[in-house]
Amino acid sequence: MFKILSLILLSSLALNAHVNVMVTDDTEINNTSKQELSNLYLKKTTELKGKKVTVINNKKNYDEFNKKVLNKTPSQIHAYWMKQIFLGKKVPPKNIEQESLKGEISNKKNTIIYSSEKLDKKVIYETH
Amino acid sequence: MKLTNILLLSSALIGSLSASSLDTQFNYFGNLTASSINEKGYEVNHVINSNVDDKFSLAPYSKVGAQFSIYNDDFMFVTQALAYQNNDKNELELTWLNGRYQIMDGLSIRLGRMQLALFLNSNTIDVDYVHLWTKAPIEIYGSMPLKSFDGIEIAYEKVIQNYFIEFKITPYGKASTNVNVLKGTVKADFTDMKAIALSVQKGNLTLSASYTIGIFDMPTDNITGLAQILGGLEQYGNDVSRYSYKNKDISFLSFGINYNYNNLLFTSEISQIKSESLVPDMTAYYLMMSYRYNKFTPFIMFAENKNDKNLYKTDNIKVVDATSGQLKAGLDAILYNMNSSQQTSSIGLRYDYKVGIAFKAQLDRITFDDYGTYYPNPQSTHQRYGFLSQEVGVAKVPVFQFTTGLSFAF
Repeated sequence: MFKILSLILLSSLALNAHVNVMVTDDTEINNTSKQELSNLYLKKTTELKGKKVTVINNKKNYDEFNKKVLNKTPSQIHAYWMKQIFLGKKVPPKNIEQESLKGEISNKKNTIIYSSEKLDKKVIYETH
Repeated sequence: MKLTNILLLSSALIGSLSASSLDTQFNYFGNLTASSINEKGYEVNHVINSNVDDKFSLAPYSKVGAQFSIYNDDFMFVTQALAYQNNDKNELELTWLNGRYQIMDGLSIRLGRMQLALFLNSNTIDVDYVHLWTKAPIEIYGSMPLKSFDGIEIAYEKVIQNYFIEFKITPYGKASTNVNVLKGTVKADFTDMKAIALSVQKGNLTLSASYTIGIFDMPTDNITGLAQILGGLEQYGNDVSRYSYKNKDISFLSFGINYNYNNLLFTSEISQIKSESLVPDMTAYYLMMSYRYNKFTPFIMFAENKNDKNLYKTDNIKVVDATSGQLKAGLDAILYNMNSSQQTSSIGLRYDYKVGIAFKAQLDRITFDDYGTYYPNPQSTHQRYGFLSQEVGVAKVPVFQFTTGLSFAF
């Protein structure tokens, strides 16, 4: 019983965790807004503050980020990307494991990631 | 543009881009859906799919599609095929086969086979998973038999402040398909196609508009008696050229709205089809309201289409004797059959079982309008052949259609 309660508590904490949106250190981008992030992660644009950027999803916080930043449920975001794919327009940003995030952005400029953990990168947005 | 030309062009594009790294992706979608109506003597007519009658059948709305994509940041090549059933025959259709090149941020050009975007959801009409409804309102989406075209599309999209703007031009396109008619199928062609489309999104509100023109050509020889009647009327000095579908200018105008307030979603669309042809002009619209509650999304919808010339006028036909009077009555009988004015009130439910799979159910109540005076056509078993056909001698009553099944996309 204790184990079940702990699991429920832990999963509810995970769903309510803050997500930090970070960018590679050598960039001149210092902050962003929810709307700008939404445009980038839905691939409505590839530019942020006049610079071309690459966005990457984090499997661990994917649902949380979609809910808090894109205002979409897992089914809604899936339907959005299915529509874009079958229209032959766009494919979703890469979705990688938490452990691979640091390696993925180590040599890249203007790359945006998110995580519930601090990754020693410049935080440009934080969900509430 | 011939399919071989598209393939050659696409291969050349892929070849020229092979130096940069390319990713590939395989996706598929489908619909396993059964449908039936409650009345004998009626049928819900589909122009490229099987009809719905009073026996439950999977044929009208079930389908499966697959897509293979090759892409990088600037280029995307897609090929998509769709399998479905039409009148007890399995059909396999190549719905998408094109290459899209990103010229600069937001500006792209696409060449090859694409699905027509005549109305708001036309180009994703086969991917039922991305739509809330169990089936698209036939009043709008059943009005044009063509699905894919071969041509060029130039698209521009840009975020300006908080507005997301998409603008598309199709300077050239042509399409052709087999269309179900009363007796068998005929080949319809849509040539000299040109289209523009604009969509503006701000927050939860999206407004869309599109305008398409072209030349439509479809044989009408299969309509029993029409050729003889028109030939006869011509001998009486009548101009009967409008009572055909031979190389007719046709236009499609569509406006759409999508508004999302928390879990409440409102969608509406209005369309107008105009052509100086056998089929009278048509205005159609639908209103849809839904509320998302966790995985459940109940919805209500009302759709209506109206032939703009409610009483298709044949006053210009000269009647000078009994024979010309009979010929005019015969033409009126055929025109009466062309009527498709109807209304559908729907209630439905979508259940998102898991990501990529949704169960859906929908109940429609279909009513229809009369179309002037009915003259019995001794050569037809139908007294009406619109979206909802009615056999001769069958009482006019509201018809209920029930549709249920599952949609998936991965």
